[in-house]
Amino acid sequence: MATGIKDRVAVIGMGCCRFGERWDASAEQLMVEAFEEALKDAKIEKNQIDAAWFATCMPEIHMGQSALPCSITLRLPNIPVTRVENYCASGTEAFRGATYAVAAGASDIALAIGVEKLKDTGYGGLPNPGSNAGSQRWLWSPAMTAPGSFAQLAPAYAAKHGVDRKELKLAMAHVSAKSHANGAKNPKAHLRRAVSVDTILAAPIIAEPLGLFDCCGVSDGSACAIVTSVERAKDMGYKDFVSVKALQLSLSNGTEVGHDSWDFDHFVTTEIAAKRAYQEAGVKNPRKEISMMEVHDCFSITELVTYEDLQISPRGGAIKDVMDGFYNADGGLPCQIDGGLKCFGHPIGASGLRMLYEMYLQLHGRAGDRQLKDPKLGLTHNLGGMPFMNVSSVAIIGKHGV
Amino acid sequence: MVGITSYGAYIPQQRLERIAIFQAMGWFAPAIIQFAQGEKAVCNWDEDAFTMAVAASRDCAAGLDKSLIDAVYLGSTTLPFADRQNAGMVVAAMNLKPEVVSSDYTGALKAGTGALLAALDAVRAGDKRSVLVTASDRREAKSAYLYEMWFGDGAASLMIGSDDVIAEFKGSYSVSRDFVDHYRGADHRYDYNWEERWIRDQGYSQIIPEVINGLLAKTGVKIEEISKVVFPCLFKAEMRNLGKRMGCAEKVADNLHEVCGETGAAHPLLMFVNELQAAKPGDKLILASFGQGSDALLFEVTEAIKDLPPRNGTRGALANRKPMKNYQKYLKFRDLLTTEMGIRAEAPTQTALTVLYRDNKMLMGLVGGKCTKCGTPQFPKSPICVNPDCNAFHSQEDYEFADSTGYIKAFTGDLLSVSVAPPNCYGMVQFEGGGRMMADFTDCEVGELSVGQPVVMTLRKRYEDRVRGFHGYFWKAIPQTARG
Amino acid sequence: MVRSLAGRYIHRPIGEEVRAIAGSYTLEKEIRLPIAGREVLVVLGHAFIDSSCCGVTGCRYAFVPGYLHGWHDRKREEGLPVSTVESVRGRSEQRTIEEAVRGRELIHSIEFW
Repeated sequence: MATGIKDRVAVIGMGCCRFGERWDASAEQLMVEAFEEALKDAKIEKNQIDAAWFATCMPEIHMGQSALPCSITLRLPNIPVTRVENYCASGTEAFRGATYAVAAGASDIALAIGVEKLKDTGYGGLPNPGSNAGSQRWLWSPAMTAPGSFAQLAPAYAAKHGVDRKELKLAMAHVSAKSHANGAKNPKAHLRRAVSVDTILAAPIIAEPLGLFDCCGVSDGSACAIVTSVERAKDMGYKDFVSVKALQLSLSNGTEVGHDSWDFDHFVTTEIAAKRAYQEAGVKNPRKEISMMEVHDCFSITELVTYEDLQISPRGGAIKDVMDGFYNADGGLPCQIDGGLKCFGHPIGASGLRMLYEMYLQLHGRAGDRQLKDPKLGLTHNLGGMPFMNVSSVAIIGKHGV
Repeated sequence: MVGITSYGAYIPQQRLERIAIFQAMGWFAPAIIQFAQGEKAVCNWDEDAFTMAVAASRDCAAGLDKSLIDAVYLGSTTLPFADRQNAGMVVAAMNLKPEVVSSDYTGALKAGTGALLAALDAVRAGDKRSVLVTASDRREAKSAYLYEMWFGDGAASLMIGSDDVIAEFKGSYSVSRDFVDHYRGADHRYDYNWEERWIRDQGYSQIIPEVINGLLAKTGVKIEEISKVVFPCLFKAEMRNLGKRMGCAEKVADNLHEVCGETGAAHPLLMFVNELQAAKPGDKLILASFGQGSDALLFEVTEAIKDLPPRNGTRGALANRKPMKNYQKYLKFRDLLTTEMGIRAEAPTQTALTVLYRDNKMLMGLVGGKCTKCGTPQFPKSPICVNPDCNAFHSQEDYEFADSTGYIKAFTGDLLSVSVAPPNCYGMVQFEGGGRMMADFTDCEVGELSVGQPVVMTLRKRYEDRVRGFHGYFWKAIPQTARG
Repeated sequence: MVRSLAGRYIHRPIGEEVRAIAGSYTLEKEIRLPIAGREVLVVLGHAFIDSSCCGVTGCRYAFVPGYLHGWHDRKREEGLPVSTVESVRGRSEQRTIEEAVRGRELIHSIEFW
């Protein structure tokens, strides 16, 4: 019976470039920026890495396909390099490949690196795939955008829990406001300015009922992690290192969009991935035991329902927790402590690793003005796809031996 | 007895106020004020002659056994494909049995009555039991002239058969005259029209009486016995004159200018259905067309008309109206205005024809599956049942969703997705009886939507591949409002 | 600290561009609209969304904090004047106000708080 990889993998170095509209840098240059930081952090040479996982979702608009662009850019020593893509959960997918390789003993020191360069297209936004979305899908699936597909959670959640639109809008605004307050303290974020709830409410609607501040934006960025087995980490002399407590993934199987059982009010997959992750990590009461989280806040409504899917807030109870400030920096379980996708934007391949980066910095006491007091366990939630068909990953990291 | 066994119609919801055209373009074309009365029905951006034909055909088949249909004849001068059987697309959209004849009738504004005559011949010969005849046109006209004022968009259908006949066919009379009031070359987009006065004096004025008198003589019926005379004519004044000359002034059917506009090949049938809906058993109705000659047909209404299950017809279609004052919107919908769509709209639009054929029932007919093990309806039909408590392999039968009602489970109005009419409304439709799907919504505004609101399904244009000349279709949901 | 919409509107600055990660908005003006013997506060703005995940758009929009009970009658917050308002709840009232606003202003959408 598989028991997972709790305390078998050590994270020995991480890096993250400055996210934003990086007109100055290509995807390659962003990767090197993150990679250099991670190598320095881990105090290793590049050629010690013996396997790599490379996350990028839209290589057709930057580096092109296969894992070769990664191997070539980083001048990796003819090692196995695998390109992975699982929509917006690609970053965590790269981390998964690297951690499983070292846990299995198939690799000594592995790299997980994600990148996305979205600003070379000549317009704002992700490319419109048209018929490249899939030969059958093109012929019938509605042309949804990300804001539009996630926006639908809102009226469904409101109908399910008897909440009126205004109450939900106010809660969503609080979710965004707290993230912006955190991002203001983060030199690597794209948007670094606190925004009041009323400023958020006065913004226009983009996809009913999501307003301007309920949505993240496009950004360029790269982040990476270097991992090894816990035994190897000890042998190499690392002390007080961060280890992986849980790493779980759950994918939709068509039930949400095809079977009458789902009410469009939550993420089936996140609930499952979280349960499995808590089991793997030995967490019995996540609300008490998780110290901090980075969730996939592409849209504030996503974050709000995710609090319930992660079993931190009870079903129908997220709004109360939000309005009580439970998820604020000074609350019971700070969420989006680095500012989240709201402040970083969403370079798809990089986001999952950027989330882990903040948890990692916090655990090492290196988060500067954002530093939380004595965090034990950090959780990341990285989601790709749409509410009705998606990939949900939950990772938990903490100091080894704690 | 052979004749009409059912009828149907479809007129687009949006009704452009003609005065709005004059307000926008009267400075350029002052003459258009003469015909600026009332409103004209205009297709939504996702409608065309084919989608309207499907809607009218479905209306015609409502409450009847569609498995009895042996043939589908489609008459139009504005079909999306010059070579891909458009009537065959109607067969697919209605999920009729493949063992039918499908034929397009094109090339003239009398294509609808041409199809009708062929259907009557086939049923009278005993070769066909039930033939669905539909005529449809989405009229194209350049901006700021009389034709734009006169034209409207619409479709009408008549089922021809020998069981439960509601209007018996009594005879027809046709003339073919190469009277070119207007023409449109195969590779041109707009009609080329000759002088209106000549069309009136040498065209309508000669040909309409010729066929109607010919029909009366042939069938031995006197004009006094006729209840209604239906013929299309752009000139209302001329219609009155013709009526007087033929001795039936008060029986000339209204040409629907103020409420719809002239719908091309559909118009004689659309006007006829309008009259049929108010007719009583025993009424004798004449239906005539006009387009390089004319076909005139005589019908006598029977008692059976009272037993026909309810349907919209022309009257129901006219009542489902949404006033429109924005002429520029019409210009954009009709591609008469060059707008910047942005780089992001430069998306590839290739259609994999293998996929279109393999999944034809799903795409054209909204046919999904129903699991024979657990009874779960599901869309699309799939090799493995979607019910997580079942997941049976290869267990599904075909299950039609097109006529299912449903309700909104979730929705949004999206200002970002590439759209001709932002915000783009879409959401999840939950079907009564089971099954659900993500769907585009149409003929609605975001402010009207709510969870739990009922919807019906309609076939609409999904995309146009202008590079290759392909039109793609799929089903959308129409949220039902007080108006709809 | 719970901020509630209930009963008050903090007058956001007019003419100041507010940037978010996906775009920006600028409030243009406030209108005190007389409707059926009451005054409705309507705020108009325009937005340009040029860095969102899914394309470029923009609009001129309106939002309605509600019926005005007291103009600038409360203690200032964030250095800005505050008015007492009451949300417009009824659908038919909302439709009436929307028609009145659309009759005088070109807006793409209107939101009732």
